[in-house]
Amino acid sequence: MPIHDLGYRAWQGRTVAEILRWWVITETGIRLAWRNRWLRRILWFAWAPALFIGSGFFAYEQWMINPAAQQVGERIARQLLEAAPSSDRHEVWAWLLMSFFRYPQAMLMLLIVGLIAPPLIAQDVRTRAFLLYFSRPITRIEYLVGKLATMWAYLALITTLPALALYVFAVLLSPEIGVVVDTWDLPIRVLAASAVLMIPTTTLALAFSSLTSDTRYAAFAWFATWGFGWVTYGFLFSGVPGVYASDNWTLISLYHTLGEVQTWVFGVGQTTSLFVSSTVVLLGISVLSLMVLFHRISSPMRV
Amino acid sequence: MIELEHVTKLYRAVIGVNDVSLSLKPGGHGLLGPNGAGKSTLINLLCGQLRPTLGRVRVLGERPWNNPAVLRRIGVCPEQDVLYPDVTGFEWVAYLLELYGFGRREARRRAGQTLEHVGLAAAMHRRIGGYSRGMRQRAKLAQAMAHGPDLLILDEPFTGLDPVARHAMTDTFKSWIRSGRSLLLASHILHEVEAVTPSFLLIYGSRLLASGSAGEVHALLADVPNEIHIRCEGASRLARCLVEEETVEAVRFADRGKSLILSTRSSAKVYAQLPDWIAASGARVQEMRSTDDSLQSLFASLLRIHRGAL
Amino acid sequence: MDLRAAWTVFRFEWTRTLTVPRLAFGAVLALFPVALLALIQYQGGRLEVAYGAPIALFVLIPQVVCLMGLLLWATPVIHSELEGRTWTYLAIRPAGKGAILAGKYLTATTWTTLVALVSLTACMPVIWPDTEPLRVFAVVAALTVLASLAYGALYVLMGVIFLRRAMVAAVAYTVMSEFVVSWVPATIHHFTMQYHLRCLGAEWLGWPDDLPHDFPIDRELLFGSLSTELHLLILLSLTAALFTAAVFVLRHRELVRADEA
Repeated sequence: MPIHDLGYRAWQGRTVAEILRWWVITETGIRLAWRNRWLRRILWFAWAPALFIGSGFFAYEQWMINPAAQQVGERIARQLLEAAPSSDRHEVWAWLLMSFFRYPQAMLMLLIVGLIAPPLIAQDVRTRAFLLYFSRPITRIEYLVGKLATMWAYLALITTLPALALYVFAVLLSPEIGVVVDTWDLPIRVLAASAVLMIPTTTLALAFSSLTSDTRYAAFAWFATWGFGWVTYGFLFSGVPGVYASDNWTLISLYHTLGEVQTWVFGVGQTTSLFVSSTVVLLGISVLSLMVLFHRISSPMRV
Repeated sequence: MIELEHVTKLYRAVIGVNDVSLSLKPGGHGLLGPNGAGKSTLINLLCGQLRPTLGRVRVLGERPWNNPAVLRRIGVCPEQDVLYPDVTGFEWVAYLLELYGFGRREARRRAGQTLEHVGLAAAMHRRIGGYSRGMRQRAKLAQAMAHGPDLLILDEPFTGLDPVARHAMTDTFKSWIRSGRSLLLASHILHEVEAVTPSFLLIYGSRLLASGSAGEVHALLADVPNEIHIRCEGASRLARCLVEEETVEAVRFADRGKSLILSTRSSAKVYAQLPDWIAASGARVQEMRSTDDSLQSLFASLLRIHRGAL
Repeated sequence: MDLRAAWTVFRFEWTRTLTVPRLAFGAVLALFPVALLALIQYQGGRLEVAYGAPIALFVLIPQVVCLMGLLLWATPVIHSELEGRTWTYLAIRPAGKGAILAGKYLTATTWTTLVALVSLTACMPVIWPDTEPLRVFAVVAALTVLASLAYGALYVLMGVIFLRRAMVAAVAYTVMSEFVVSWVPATIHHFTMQYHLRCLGAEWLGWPDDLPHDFPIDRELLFGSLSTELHLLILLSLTAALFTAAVFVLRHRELVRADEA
């Protein structure tokens, strides 16, 4: 009886570079997530705040150079400037971009990651797709990068790209191209702020997904982390008379911890003493999440 | 018992079942078709989980959609596995029985009885999470049978069962039919269905290709070109004999000349005369089979008939 | 609707909630408000806003604890069965999908209410209100029950409409509607649960017409222009309407998919 070789047979033709194997997982993850109608709707709306913030750029620049525009838009500009940290162009632009990150896009980030992340690993656990992945020449790092990059792609679509587009929009609506000289570093700060936003949040979300085969628990853990943090911060720091709290308790709220670091990244206002501890917390979340992830995705392969 | 009139089910642009009409009398029936043929859609239509896009579905004389009266009289064993890992088989079956309206005591009595009947007496108080595939399949069967339905609908009930368990389950189904109740068994394996009931429906590509008994279907295919694969020593001598016969349409060699494949439209006549031809040629036959005995070949032939190619 | 079947579903689902992980989660959820209030005390603080204790208890118990509990148990009522591929086994019973939904709704709201009441009981010694503590306890407990029923119906409806993405939809809706729209001084806030809950709370606690000047909430947004009975009626009507809508959608939705699809 002929014995057939059922082992892995090496492909003799051309292969994709090893360093790009994670891209297969990412591309598939993006395509699968894209099928969700609600995700597409949220993405559509994600660009809307950029228009609103963009008008702030325009209003500021017009207020600076055009006395006639002062009369027309004086009230709007005054409100804007009262909220802005100063009248310096770099600081106002940075503040507007940071506001874009901190307020509308933060909420959308919460929803988008809550939509995409929970089933990313939980479903692989439930359906035993691990066996399919790791019977291919894919390392754990490639698997993880592939999954993380799926979320990074969508987050870039709602934060990084709109913010960069906002900057370009602001330049184009400015009275002169020379504004680039004052603000050339802002696109780099946008990229840095994106990294600050994406890395700890996506590793945390993916860690939750790896801890369960039931996506609802992963989704709940994600929302509960933000919800409990927000409520705690609200109680301790919303200025309720008689309530005192050390600033360190800010770190219990992931949203506000991110805010501390993003404020430093954009160079807006004074850097607080919490910046270092916030950075440490975010790094800690990222490292711990990665450790959990490595442990969990290795478990099916442990004897 | 079951009536479908020009039933079509569309999932947006995907056709689940396409203009199916059939009328089944009480008794046992098999629903045969490969994966993706439309069996599950048909079953979901019959047990009231889907509504037809076009046409009319009647089970036991009534429309099954949102109809408790029909659901009370049918038992369904779906293809999906059971995933309540922390619940025992007994608790699960009793729970589902209570949803039929049985009192708690009666539900527990029936659950115990049925689980014993399907061979889960020893394991019924263990959690389902610890069951083997075959045990979960039996638990699924128990929940379908426990309330004593008039019609049992089974979707791939033999999946994951070892040969002994398959045999036992086949006997269970045959005695079910003998007791005067009805059964519809969906499978993609011909001999599984043939072992239970001689009446079956062939569904392929969301269309009903044929229905009737196995004999009727094979008779239908009697004039369809059939291929017979013969592995023998002296194949060339046998080939010389065969090409002279009128009932043989074509002969070709295979396996580097060690086998013959002959095509004929008159299988019955060829089979009757083949022993004489083999003897006359002096060939020593090691293996003989019809390549069209498989379900796939059956469907392929039926499709060709439907397309007018035969 | 088959009430007996609903009760059977409730009994079965309730047994399934009595597992160590779920009980542990309940404990964590119940202890969160206690820990937060204890933290404020530990920091040397004390809620000095007028009626600070009832306001804090209202935010923490009927809002945070109830919403979190229902987010986990009410939104995935159907999706958990679909994901586990056990929905078919329930849907083919003559009891009807409505009875199944009612049983699961009852389980989610009961679990949440119990956890919230335990939390409230544990919070009382920590925050002990200045005036009429027992009345505060009774009012917040009543609001907890109402909140569980109302938000439970809302989340169950979302669970039936959105299925896989129900939790995300519930979070988005809750933030926009209950935390933003309910504070808009316009007719639209009458369609939110939180508006009616806080108006009932203010009335039941007997808050006076002239609130202190530093009271953080606008009087109109707190008492509204409706009577207590009307607030209660609207809240219960909204609850009934949302649950009825959920049953209607479930009965008319096709939830099974075959391989062919």
